[in-house]
Amino acid sequence: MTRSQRTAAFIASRLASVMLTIAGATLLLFLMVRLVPGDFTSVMLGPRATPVLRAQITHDMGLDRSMVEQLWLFASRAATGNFGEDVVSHRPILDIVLDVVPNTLALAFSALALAMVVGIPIGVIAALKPGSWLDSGLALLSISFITTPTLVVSVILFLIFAIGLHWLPVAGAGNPGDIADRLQHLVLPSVALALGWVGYISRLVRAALLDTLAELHVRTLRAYGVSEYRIVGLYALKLALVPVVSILGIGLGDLIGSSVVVEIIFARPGIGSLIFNSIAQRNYPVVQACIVFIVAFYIVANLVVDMINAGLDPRIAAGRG
Amino acid sequence: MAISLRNLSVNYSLQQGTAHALRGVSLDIEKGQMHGLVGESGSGKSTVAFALMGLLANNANVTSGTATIEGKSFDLTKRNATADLRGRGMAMIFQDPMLSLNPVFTIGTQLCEVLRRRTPGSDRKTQGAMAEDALAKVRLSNPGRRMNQYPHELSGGMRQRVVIAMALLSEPALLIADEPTTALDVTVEAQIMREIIGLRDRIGCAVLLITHSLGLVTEYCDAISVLYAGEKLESGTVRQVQRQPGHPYTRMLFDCEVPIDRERHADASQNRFTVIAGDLPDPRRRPPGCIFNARCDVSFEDCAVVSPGDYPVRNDDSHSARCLRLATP
Amino acid sequence: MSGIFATLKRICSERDGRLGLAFTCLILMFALVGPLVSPDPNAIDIKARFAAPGLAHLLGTDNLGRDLLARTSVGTRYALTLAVIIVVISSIIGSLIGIIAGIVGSWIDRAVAAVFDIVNAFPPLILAFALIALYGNGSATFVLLVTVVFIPQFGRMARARAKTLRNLSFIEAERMLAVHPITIVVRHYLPNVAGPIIVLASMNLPVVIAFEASLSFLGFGVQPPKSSLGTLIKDGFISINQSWWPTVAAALVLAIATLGATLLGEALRRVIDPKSTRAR
Repeated sequence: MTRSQRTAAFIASRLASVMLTIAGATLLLFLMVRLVPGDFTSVMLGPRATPVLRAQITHDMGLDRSMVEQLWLFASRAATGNFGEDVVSHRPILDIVLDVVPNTLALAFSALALAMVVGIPIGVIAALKPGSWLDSGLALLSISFITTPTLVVSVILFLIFAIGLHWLPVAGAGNPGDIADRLQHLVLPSVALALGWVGYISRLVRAALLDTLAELHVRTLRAYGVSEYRIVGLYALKLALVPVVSILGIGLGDLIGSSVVVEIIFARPGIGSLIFNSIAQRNYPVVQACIVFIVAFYIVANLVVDMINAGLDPRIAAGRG
Repeated sequence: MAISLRNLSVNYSLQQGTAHALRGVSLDIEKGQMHGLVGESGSGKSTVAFALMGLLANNANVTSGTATIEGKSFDLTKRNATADLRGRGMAMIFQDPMLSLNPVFTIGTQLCEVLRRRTPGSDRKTQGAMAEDALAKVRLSNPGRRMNQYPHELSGGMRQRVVIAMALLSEPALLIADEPTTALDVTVEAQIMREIIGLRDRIGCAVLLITHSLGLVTEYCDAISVLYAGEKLESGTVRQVQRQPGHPYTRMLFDCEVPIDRERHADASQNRFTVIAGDLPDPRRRPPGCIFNARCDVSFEDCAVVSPGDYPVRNDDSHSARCLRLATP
Repeated sequence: MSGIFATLKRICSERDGRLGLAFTCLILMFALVGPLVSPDPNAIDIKARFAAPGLAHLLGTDNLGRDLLARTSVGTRYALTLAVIIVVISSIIGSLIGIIAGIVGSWIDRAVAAVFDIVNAFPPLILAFALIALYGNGSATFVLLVTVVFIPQFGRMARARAKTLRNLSFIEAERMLAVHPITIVVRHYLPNVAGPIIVLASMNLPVVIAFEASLSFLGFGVQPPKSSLGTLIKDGFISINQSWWPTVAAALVLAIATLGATLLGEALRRVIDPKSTRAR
């Protein structure tokens, strides 16, 4: 097999397992909702359960048919993005979700980018002089970043900027269309979401770099006079980023999860606050749609991470990684 | 005289105390020649290489030693004394080619990295052409394709050729080959040695071949030094040493070699191999007298007390051994 | 007993371990001693609403005039208790499922692994959200539902250990000698799985503390009249324009608790499992 064929085979096998996980997650979500004790239409509709709506839900979701048919109906609709119509606003649920998705994506990706831009250099600096006072100082800083809950960071940032200074807006996502305003509104939530990841990434980079620097190919480069900065910042770093990127993929779920807290505190529209509000209103069809979307995003993000890693380390695609 | 190393002593600080890895080792390597440095594991032969390159581990401490390379002297007790020479005056080939190349960069990138230092200012295309040419010179098949391949796509022997091509590109005055064939199949050994010789002849450098195999030395080297427990016991041309070993240890080493024509028994337990009885002395406490005394088969009383100097063998200045039996009374 | 002292001594032999122990002791003191020396946390005093910190109320009062020092220390105690209970239950259930799957093997093992993967595909906070919203949030239900979120981590670790143990010769030998499977599990699997599980549990404790606080902050966790650090931050945040210190006090206690528990957990890992030097 040529290299591109191997890469294609790798992607295909990853896609297959991603599909299986999505299918499993959909099944779990389906069962989770169906196993709630009591009349299902009351669970779904909560206080809004009028006979008309009950009949509509029963028909829409095929509650009068067998469980297998219901599952198939649910899965096939979820796959095509057809989540039905919201009983509160009478808009398609997909539209409601898609309205807020860009806000959450902007938040998650800006936080991740910020965490990498700050975290990787800190990790590299710490790894250049392991055991030095700088290294141990950065280690303590990183671990306090990691352990301070996003909740605490958000609350403190909110306090400083809402009560104390008034440099940055603390509520909402900004005026639609006004990019500068939207970016200003993005700063505090991103920092709140990113801080823990700065610490996490810097520690991962440091550990992975130190492992890599002990490998023999680094000695080869040293023997041929390659400067230490080039070795650490290029040759060792690329190899050290592989485990870091893998763990980032796993962490993306946490990032979306913590975005709920951040979105609530900074009153930002997004998928987290949508879930929160829908749960508060017992509007489960919207919650379900949000969760399907999040799980799909999370899994696709992990797939992307695998691709990035296959690009970083050619051995992964070759099946020797 | 191209390369000389004088009075190299290296200590390792360990948890159990300070180990003396090398004690006053001196070597002279002629330009265009291959000098074999032999010794069993733990004799300190790799430490010589890494002390010269300035790549010793952090717990190593060079207590004395000067290297003269192309007329310039370097005080090896200073950290990174030879940093300037790496990739320019000195190059090295390592024991394990499977591990000595970075797995996530192409062969071409790693070769060009050497050129970045050797020919600064040259553009990428020239560097690429030079790297490909070097791969062709070490007779790696399909050099153009290899440039874009990653180390894991190459066999051990091919990777070692890549490292030799790196050495070739850096055009060193001294090439150190640290057990370059130990990790490879025996069938590849001769090819790799041929490429190293080819490199030496092409750029006229001196080669220090570090090995535990006397066979390699007698086959490919011009001169030989024998290292035992951190001390050089004998040195001379291969022919001199082979014909008349000056030190009992060297003689015993030659006795251990299994000639290819020796009769073998079908039942492996019937085969007789010569071994040198005893173990290396404790590197933390050097016994008085001759370092080899405890394992020597011809030692006498004085050997346990008097430390021998380097005495000429058969009045030949280029052949010396550190044995009291050679001392003229 | 001497084992515990030896472990403590080794934890204290490095800076991070000492710091972790100090922070943890500080928080424990606050949680245990605080309620004994401060006034009734639920005593309402409308005249003293939003009182600033002073002699009568060291940390001031909340919107109902309740003493915040007392409330914060009771809340800390409840939050820590919940977190410990959740970690203990999920580590025990997770280990048992993992060990059984690892020993039995075949399709059962693969099914368990798949379920773990699927549960892990949900972001933890959102999974807890959905479960609590659907199945209610009394204290006991809350603990059980959060446990579900944390079981897979322990299960995966225990399963991996059990699989390596299964192939060890002495266990194979006992199996061939027809030693009762439960005896084998008790004699070999439990002791060998315990070490890494204890380390993982101690590393997860601060995670669960923060997790519970977030859920309670959002109103999905601890319900009044009970209060935890999360509900205190929530209550303070609602009236943040009147007084900011209740929020800051609870947030600070939360941050110190998670930092202390993490430092202590990592020190413990270095003592129990010195080979692994990587960050998490």
